[in-house]
Amino acid sequence: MMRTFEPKVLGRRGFLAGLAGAGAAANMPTASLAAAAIPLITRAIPASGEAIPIIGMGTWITMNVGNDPALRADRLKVVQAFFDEGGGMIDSSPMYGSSEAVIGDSLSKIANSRGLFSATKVWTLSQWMGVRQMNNSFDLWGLKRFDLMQIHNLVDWEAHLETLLEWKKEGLVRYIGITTSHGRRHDDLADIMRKQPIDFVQLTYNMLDLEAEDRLLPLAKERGIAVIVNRPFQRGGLFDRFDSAPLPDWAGAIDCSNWAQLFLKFVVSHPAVTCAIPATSRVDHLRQNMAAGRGRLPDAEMRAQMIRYIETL
Amino acid sequence: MIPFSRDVFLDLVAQYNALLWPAQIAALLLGLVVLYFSIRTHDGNSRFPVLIVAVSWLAVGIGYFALHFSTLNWAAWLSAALFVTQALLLVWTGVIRSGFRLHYDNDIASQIGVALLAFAIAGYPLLGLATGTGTAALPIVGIDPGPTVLLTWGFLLLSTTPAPLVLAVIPFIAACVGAAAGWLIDLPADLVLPPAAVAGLWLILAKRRRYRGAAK
Repeated sequence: MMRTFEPKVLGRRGFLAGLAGAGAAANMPTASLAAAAIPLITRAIPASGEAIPIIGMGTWITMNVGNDPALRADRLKVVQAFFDEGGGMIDSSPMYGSSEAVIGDSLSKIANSRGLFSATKVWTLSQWMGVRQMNNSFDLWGLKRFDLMQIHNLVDWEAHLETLLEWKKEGLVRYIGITTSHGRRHDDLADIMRKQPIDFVQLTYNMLDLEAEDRLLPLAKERGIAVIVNRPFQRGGLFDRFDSAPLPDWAGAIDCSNWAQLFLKFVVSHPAVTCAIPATSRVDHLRQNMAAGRGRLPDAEMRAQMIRYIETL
Repeated sequence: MIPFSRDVFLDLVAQYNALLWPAQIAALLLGLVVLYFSIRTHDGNSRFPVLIVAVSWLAVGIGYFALHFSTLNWAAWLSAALFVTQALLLVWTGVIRSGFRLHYDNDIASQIGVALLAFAIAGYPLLGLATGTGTAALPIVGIDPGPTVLLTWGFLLLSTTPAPLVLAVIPFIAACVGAAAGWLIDLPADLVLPPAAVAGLWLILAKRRRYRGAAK
């Protein structure tokens, strides 16, 4: 089990007060926070209390590179850097082409993947096909047990849930989850969250897609369900809109030196969120993302300020 | 949603081209053979050029989609099935039943047909080159789906009797899907496919109406 690190939560007012006293904290170098010596902030999975780092890694598009040895070697560096930075959750899906195979290949070649929290999905019709697909995922990842198996986009969820509840008893999976993305099927998802014994839910939440705040995130908190956030950058849309704008002066108060960290800290500072899974194919971006899992997180007041700021841009 | 990036896709096409080299030369020559049969005014048997086009669809379906592209995208299996089906339809219609004869009529359908054939053979790779695919990932007729679909639209427009509509269904779907993918991962050459498909379908339907009118 990973060590839990309680983040310091600092609001804008508190930061300004601190500045008056100490002077230099606003530009606290994020590079120093990126050092793996500083552990990533973790959150507890409500179902078990097990702590996982708040920044994980998604694999949509970025890890789907087929069999090309040079591209696989590039992605191996990203996975290596992820674990060097203290990363935990890697999330994939059979829907993502060769991503599972690329992750499995990378895991077989690196030595420091002990912190891995393996998460993949089942995404097919019928129980029989689901079993076949999940067995294939074990082979592709080179694992005998998944930490988390999720039912992707609610596809044939009743059939797969039956399998997964059985597999959980047998120890083939440790946690069961269900996913949606891009704001789809929230009514069905909420219904499942209320009625079914699931441990995780995965949904889209970012500074522009706030719908989950209204119902799903409070429901997850109430029901003790861990939340994985996908598309924390709105599939790059946040960078397209805001990357050319100046980073606010107060970004240093929450230890952000770039927009990626600001976007991620907004997501993971929601009290119901357990982990965000940004995806990247670049080591430098990976390190920027992981640095968002260190240092101070915004409190409710600062979060409101963050939203107000981007609304002015 | 496309589960791969432009760079990875172009890398995959480059790998495929390298794997098949120098088949591209043969494919281009076969494309020219189809063009030759299309321009030459004759009412003879067109089994050979039909067979060439059918083999192109089969090669793209099995080689490109099923054996190569499916590593990146599960949907490649659906494309493979469609391309193999089109190959079988071409063989059944144009080789076994011999219900397909090429003839250049100097009408708008023939002119556009020849233009599409020529563009599929030469224009498509050049447009790809101009829009950044690089020489290694050039789309070649008979090897890659885009130019093969375009070649087929030109070919269908040169049928003396209106081409059976069943032969236009899959090329129409393939043109739309190919262009959508090209749009999403920024491959502008693929955007020529829908206009070609719409014009091709419209001209085939017009030719069918003329034939029905003449038959009354």
